Amino acid sequence: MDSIEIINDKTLELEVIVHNESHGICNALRNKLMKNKDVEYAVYNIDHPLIGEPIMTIKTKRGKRPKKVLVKAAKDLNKDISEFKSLVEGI
Amino acid sequence: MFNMEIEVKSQNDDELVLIIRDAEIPFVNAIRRSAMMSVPKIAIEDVNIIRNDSSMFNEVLAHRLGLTPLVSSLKHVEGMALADECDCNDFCPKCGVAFSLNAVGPKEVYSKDLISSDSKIKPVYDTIPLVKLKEGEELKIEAVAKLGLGKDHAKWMPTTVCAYKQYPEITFNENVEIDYDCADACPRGILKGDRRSKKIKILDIEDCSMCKSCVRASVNNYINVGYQENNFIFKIETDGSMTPKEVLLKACDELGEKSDKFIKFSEGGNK
Amino acid sequence: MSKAKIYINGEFIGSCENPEEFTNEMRAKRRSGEVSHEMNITYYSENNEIYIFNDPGRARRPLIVVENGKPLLKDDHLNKMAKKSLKWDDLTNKGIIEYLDAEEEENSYISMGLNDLNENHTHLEIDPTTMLGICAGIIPFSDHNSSPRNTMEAGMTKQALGLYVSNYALRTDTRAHLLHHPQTPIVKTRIIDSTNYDERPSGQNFVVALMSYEGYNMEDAMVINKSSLERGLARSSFFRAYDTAEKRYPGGQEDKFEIPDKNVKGYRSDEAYRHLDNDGIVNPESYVSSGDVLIGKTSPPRFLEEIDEFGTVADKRRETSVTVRHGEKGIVDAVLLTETVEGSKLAKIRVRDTRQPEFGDKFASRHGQKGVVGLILSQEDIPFTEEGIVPDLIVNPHAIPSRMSVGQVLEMIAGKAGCIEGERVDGTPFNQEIEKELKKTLIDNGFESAGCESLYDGVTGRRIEAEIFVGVAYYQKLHHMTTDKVYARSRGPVQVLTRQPTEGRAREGGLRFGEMERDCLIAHGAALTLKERLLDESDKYEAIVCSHCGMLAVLDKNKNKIYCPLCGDIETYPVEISYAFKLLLDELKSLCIFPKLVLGDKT
Repeated sequence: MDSIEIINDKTLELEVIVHNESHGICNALRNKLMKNKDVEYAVYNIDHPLIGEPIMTIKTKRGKRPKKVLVKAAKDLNKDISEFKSLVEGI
Repeated sequence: MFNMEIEVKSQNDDELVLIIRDAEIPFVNAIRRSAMMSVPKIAIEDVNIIRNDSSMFNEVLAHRLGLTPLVSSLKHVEGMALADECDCNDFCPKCGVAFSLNAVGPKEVYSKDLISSDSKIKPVYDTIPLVKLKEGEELKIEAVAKLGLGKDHAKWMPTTVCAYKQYPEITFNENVEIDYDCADACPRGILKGDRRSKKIKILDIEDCSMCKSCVRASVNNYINVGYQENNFIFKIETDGSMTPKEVLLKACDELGEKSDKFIKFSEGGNK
Repeated sequence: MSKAKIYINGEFIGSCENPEEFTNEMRAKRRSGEVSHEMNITYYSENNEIYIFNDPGRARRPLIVVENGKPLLKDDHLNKMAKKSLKWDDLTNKGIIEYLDAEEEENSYISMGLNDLNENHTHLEIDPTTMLGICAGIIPFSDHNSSPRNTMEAGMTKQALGLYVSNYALRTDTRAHLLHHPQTPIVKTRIIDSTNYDERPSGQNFVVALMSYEGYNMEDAMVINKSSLERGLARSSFFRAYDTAEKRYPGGQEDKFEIPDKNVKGYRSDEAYRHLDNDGIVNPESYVSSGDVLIGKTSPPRFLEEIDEFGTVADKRRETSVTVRHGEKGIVDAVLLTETVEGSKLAKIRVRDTRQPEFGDKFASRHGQKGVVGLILSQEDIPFTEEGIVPDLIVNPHAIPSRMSVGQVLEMIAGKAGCIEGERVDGTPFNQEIEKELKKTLIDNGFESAGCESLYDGVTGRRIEAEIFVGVAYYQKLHHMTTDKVYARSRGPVQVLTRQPTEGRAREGGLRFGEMERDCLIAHGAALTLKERLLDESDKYEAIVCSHCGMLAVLDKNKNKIYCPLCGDIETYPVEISYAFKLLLDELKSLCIFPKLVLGDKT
């Protein structure tokens, strides 16, 4: 996949560059990740507002895989989104 | 069942004010950013000026045409592809709508003079002045409107207002003496001091802008203005090309697609 | 006591014994009309001199005469003036109003208003704002600014872009700027009304937030909203006029407008001439960039006496086309064909370029707060209010306290109040009542009285903890834009006289490595770097010096022989010097001074 590029993929740490994305999705995912007890820390940074791309780092606690917690966080976010969407549809 | 709650505070064709309860700041901000920047909308992109005798420069006229809002409600643009995602050469009915404008002066050219090749996709308002033509001046233009995103250019931004505020919360410190000055200091008249019951009544908490004039007016820290972190008052207004509800729904879809990218990456990528 | 000397227009004419009485008597005569109103008299008690001036060219201003603490201008006079039965000249003739020049002002004690008037005052201002000129009068609340800031703004107003004249489409000015969407200022002054500034405004009203943003608006830079720029904020057009004529030379030859033939001397590439029509002149609405030819022109050879070896006159024409300036581009706006006074064909081309604000473009408010664009930020990242209002400009608050331009702060509040009410605000200086009214307007409309609002960060979504000051101010785009200044040269043309790089961006020159830069390299001890800057990269020249007499030797290229003009065929050595030094030697020689170069071995 071109749009998410791996820099570092270790047992407990994952560092990726997310191409063509901005603060919206990265901050929302980071928030979900930090709520997960299995995550040691999750952080993202954009070096420059114009040319920078988000570099996201996830470090998990012993025994948990970063990609798995990322999937869980994204699925949690999807749940929130569909919840919001159905609430808006009912307006 | 659901975690979140939504209550409609006010609604009309262009504007929607919602109270969102039990949501998180990054999520509501992501919806806000997505609604502004990621919802596709149609606007004039390529302008072919065949004849322009007016005193307005070609590029200024093209700029005005680009900013004219065109009807882009979801049912009308369904099936259209973003300009750079379509595999045709220049443009085709799938990714663009052709417009033409022919006028001879003396006349003031309005947006209703923009004639579309698609009867449904046309300017939202008929009375937007485009250019003035003097006697004998002629204007002949062909334009192509394409689908685009707000993050590429402001003409593709469907919202005019897309913002929220935290749900305000005013608390009183009962340990100190009641201070009626803070009630008078509020510019929106939200607080009303009732000297008989020795209390300050909050008339409309949702109108509070958290300007903290009352806090500054009170010398003994009687009043404190804070906010409920997980409750929001969300206001969205569009320029008429889509309804606010459509924009929110599409924003949710676009945000969902972005998070799907992460799921696909984590599950399908090299393990 | 010695007599006081009297000077009329600088010429000493006499003396008098009671200078005070004398000046008062002269002033009374002037007010009554016995002496011309153009006379101004001043008495300096320090050196006991009286100066009388009545020469033309002095700047004078009218003031109301005050006697015994009471102005001579009464309500009766004002009523009669309103009914048009009394005119300005009548007031001057009756001695109620008199004109004071700069010298006589030294003897007067002028009161600003009726409230401050006491017995010591000699004059009363008609209105305090009359002391300001046109440029200073544009500044609202200038009485709240520190005076250097007012001075700077009075200079910058002259550099602001706007609608300079209404027939710009018919004029061919060498350089002209035009702001696409000028707006009249929401906060105006009475002087703006009286000079009809509203007919030709030169700026726009910006929504300004006063906060630091991520360090991109430090040191007077500003953060500007990208979506506002896309909607047309501060967009301008730049016009440049190029012209040339078909000159006629003595001897019957003349220039010609044409697409030059391939074998003319100095023929550029085929691409350079691609926009030209058959008559050699570019078509309107062509998109041209630097190096493209606008008017193709050929001229006869420069020196008609140039006969080559076969005896025929060289008739190879030279190319003298007009090209677009280096670094510029645009659309040909208008083509003008006319005749010069002498009757030769004249062509003028006007090229138009649209300039959207970019990094480095200079903007200024009306209070000397200038700055360049430091960051162009997308609307989603910019802090927003609950109503969805997003500032167009984020200015650093550090710019305000040390500069003491409180007028800017007041203008932002007044602009906000004006926007809310939908009315223009009078920001004429010396109006004490305005602040209370503005605060009341803000409170009545539900805004905080000091102009602060609670903003939410666009990036994280959180509420920004402190309330931010947001207001509306009138900003001007100044004509210092990056596209006109950005320039680079590695190697290029040199001057004929000194063989040093040419000067100026237009002549593809080099940047001067001046005396202070030289001092810096000396301080670092970078001797060879200094030599490289000043010699190798500039005008290095290898001169051949005669070992015997120290004169510069001559190299005969045809015979390939080196000889000294004084000593003949003798041993010569090459020396590395700058051409400027060789020029100095030539100049000394022209003064009949023998500059002898004494040579020694390098080691």
